[in-house]
Amino acid sequence: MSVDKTIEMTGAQLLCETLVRNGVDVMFGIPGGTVMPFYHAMFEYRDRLRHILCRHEQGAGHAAEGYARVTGRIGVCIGTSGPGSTNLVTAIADAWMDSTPILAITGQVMGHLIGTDAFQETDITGITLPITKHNYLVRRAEDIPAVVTEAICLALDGRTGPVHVDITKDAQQERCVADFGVIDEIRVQAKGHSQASARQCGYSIYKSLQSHATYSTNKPSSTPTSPSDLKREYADKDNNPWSSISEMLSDAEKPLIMAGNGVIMSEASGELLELAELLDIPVTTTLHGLGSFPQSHRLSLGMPGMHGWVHVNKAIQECDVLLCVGARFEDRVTGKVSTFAPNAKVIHIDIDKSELNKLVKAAIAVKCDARIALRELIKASAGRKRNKRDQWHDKIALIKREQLPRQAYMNRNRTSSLMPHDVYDGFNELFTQCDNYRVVTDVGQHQMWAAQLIHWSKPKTHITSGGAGTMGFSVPAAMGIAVAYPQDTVWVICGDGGFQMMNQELATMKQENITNVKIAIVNNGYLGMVRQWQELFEGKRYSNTPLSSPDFSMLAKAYGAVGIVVEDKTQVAGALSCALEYDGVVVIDFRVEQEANVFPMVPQGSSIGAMITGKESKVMESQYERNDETQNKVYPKESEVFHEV
Amino acid sequence: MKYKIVALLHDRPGVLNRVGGVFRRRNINIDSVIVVKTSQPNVSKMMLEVDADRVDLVVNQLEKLIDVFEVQSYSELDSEEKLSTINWCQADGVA
Repeated sequence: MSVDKTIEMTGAQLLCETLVRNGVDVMFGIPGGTVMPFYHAMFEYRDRLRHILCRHEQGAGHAAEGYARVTGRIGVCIGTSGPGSTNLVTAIADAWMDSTPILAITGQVMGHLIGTDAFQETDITGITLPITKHNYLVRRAEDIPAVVTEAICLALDGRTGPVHVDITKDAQQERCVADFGVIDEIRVQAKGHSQASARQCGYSIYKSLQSHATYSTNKPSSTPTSPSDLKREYADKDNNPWSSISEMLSDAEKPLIMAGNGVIMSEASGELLELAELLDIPVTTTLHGLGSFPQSHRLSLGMPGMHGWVHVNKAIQECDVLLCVGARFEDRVTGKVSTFAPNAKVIHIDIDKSELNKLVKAAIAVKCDARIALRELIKASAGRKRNKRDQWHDKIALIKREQLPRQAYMNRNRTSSLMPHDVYDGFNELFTQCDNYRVVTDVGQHQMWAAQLIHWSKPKTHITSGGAGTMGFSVPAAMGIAVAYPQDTVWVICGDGGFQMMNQELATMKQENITNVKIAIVNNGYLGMVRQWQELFEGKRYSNTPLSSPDFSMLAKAYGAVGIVVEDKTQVAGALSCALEYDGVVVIDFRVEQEANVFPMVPQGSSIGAMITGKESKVMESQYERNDETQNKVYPKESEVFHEV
Repeated sequence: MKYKIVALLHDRPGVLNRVGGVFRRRNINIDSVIVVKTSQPNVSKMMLEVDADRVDLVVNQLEKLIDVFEVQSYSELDSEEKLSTINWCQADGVA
């Protein structure tokens, strides 16, 4: 490394070298005027840095997200200045909402042109400011190693998330003496920080790394952060909350665990299972938590929230202690938050302090990594005497037995020869026979059906755009996953609307020889979820939701993939196994019943105790109101549509 | 409720924008703001007054900004004694 210090390099070469030294080996992007020096240098690094040439920067961003979500490593996406960088914005926002660690690198116009409305100039750091953990505008080549290294460390630390680095073209062209010592320095500090403080303190260490990232020549001699920043912080000011949490859980009559993305990100599924079994507590997993707890397990309940099962939402409303790990009480989970879990003492464990007591007031709130927290809880709970839970389990089981058959597609009402649930039955059948699968869903009805109906059993097999709800996410994200795990079969389940937003990435897959992506389009000829809302709440006024599509099988063929059309239930299994066996991208067009709905459903703004369980059903009366605010008056408008369950 | 917020910031371009954005997003008006240099290089001190609810959430968000080193908030309910510790002229320290 000492040799390197004497080498003069361009900023672009420094950038490549820095990425390689930080363990990056694949990037997704599109070249353009202001990143041309970077792409010029990248050519020398093509044996170490694989670049996937996408067709749209948003696709590059989602691909980086997919890569990061399954590997836990940094996903890198690249765009040029102006439109190239604004096209990345949706993907960055998506990563921000779902805490996905990506590094967005964009080119910027020459330093002297910034602020002059130069060709393809956009104030992109101004735009990404509220949707990144941090962003940087780099104007000097010599700052690149430190800034990029810090950006990567920052993206991956604490609550992971997107970081954006905007680099002027002249900084990429400028030659300077390479100093890579700073890379190791930052990485050692970041690593030391992660280990020493056990990932419990967010990313405060980066405040002490500022000196590396500042553009000022006047570097501070001492770190401005006090060591007290690194001490464990518990909202209840209790230095050891574990025994009191364990006691609460053990003594509870009706406890419940809610697990979210945090459990998957910190790879704590084993610990979650151990704790649930140890204390005999049922587990519900949020949309992003799906897969963190095997759904075949007797303690598994399924997904809560707007499209959660009735027994799950009822369990939440009835439980007396709710342990929430790595989830953040989004409105799609809580419904009307003032009525959420009214009987429960909430214990909230999250790596991000700002999530604690943000929406739901916690009896005990702990800022901690999920795996560390669960391990501590297992330790604190071992040998502890606990309450009997049989009645609680029986009660949930009874609601499940009563409600499940009433829930629309569970009773197999057939209105056409191919219903959406036939497709999911096919997947469940398929997944019992193969092991190496990942499922990426898009956004809409098919996403909720997948979340409800597929038997999730392993972490990182369910990848979706949850927080931002970005239609078009699935196809490019699957491409990123396919690059990360070429031996896995990556299944895309998407709608006809979402597929058409990002299907151009099929061309990327062809060019890059990515063959392990199989796409199942649940094609109902509508922007289905919006249509469902229009049907239920807006008197069936289908304003701009009917959607015409090209012949997807022919489109697939045009992209060098194989297209299959399925119009009958009997063809589902055959089509799926055919797609699995074929060595190449396959697009299956499942032409399903057009007006099938996702049930159960909690109307927006209602308590999760008030659910619509089917087209013919009434909103189940919520008995859980804890204040006398009138129920949402808008929904449902057409009360005659519903009848008493 | 009226709050006074005192923060130590990294003294570099764009930081005021980052801090201001946290308030803007939540539709909180900044009634008054002062930013001064401190004796530490690259560290500035900001003092601002807002009239808002749930300022704790804003403070949590401010703490997440990597350009913010330290934040302290004081509400009008705090004791005279505590409030009197805020030294608007003394540049160093959040109290």
